[in-house]
Amino acid sequence: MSFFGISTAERRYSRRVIAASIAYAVLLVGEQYALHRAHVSAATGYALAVLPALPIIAIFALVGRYLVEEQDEYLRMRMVRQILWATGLTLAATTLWGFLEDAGLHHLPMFYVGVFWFGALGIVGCLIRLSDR
Amino acid sequence: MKNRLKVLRAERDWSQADLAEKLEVSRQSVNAIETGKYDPSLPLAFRIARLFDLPIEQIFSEN
Repeated sequence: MSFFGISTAERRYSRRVIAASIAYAVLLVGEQYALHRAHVSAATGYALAVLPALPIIAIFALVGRYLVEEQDEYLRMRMVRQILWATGLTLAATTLWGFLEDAGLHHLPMFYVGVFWFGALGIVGCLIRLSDR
Repeated sequence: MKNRLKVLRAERDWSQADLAEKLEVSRQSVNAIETGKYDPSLPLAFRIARLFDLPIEQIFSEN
């Protein structure tokens, strides 16, 4: 069922993504503070560094959960298209960047792969929704 | 695949939202099917046929 053009699964997905994003922001601030202000051992540093990655990984899982929970077959297909486009664009961009790095361009931290994927997912989602009107 | 969904809906004076509610799908689904952007699954095609009380082949055609 959908209300105001948003399905129940979409609303649930949005709520969960917002909660994970808040957890990410809190953990990132805490991790950065602990790593750069407090004197922690290398092992503790690695353990702290994992913390902000967990909500991001959770969001990847939430995308999969949305596909399972979405009852509307067209909306499900639309999200699958969105994921395929975002993944394809991310793989293309990171492959290209890897070769550019080899030629001297500055190194980009690996976590930007996730950032790029989420960005691509959002932009492709907007374009698909616009073409739906 | 072509379909007569828009005509059948108009004959009954239903909006896309009305049809979506009766089929328990999103309005975007109805719009995508009507404009030929999306071919429904067999279960959904059967639901549409039942709603309009018509055989599937009188609603959907190959070309």
